[in-house]
Amino acid sequence: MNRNATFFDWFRALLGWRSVQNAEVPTELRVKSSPAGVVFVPTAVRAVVHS
Amino acid sequence: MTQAKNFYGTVFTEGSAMLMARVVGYSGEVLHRYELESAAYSIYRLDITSDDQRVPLPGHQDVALDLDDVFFDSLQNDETWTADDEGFNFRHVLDNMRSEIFSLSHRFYQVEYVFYTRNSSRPPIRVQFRLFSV
Repeated sequence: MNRNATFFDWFRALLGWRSVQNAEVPTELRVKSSPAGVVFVPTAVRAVVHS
Repeated sequence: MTQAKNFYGTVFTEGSAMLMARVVGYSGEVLHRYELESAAYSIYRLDITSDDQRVPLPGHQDVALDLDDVFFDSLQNDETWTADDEGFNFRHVLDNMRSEIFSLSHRFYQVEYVFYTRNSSRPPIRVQFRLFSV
């Protein structure tokens, strides 16, 4: 975020009125905020135990 | 979407149990008997204080299963399958009459099944049950 940003700028950004520019977001954060991956494990989807 | 998890159940101490499951493969589709090369199971008694400490049950390690006895080519559904309306393709009875299984009470036993498919480039498929003896 711009160092000269006012509190109101921050507030608007939080509400989504103004998106934070990618150039201002550290690379690490941008990577972490990328869409989530998919984990698929072939196993049982449902199971029942009788005793 | 399936992810790794243990299926929990309760069994009688020194009792038997029937374990049922709907197993899916790498395509996400229900696995069929003809897709499998072999299968085996192992049972471990878990330590009371730590899941990492487990005792292999003698006679129940890497026991080969007869696929024709335990796996189906299509989903089965009867009164024993209470999970949903779709059905199961795997059923195995752990018979305490043949070999002592759940000998101690108030313990967790982990039953691990491994299914090897005919597609050798794929890792085996694992299904795990965690059973508490009462």
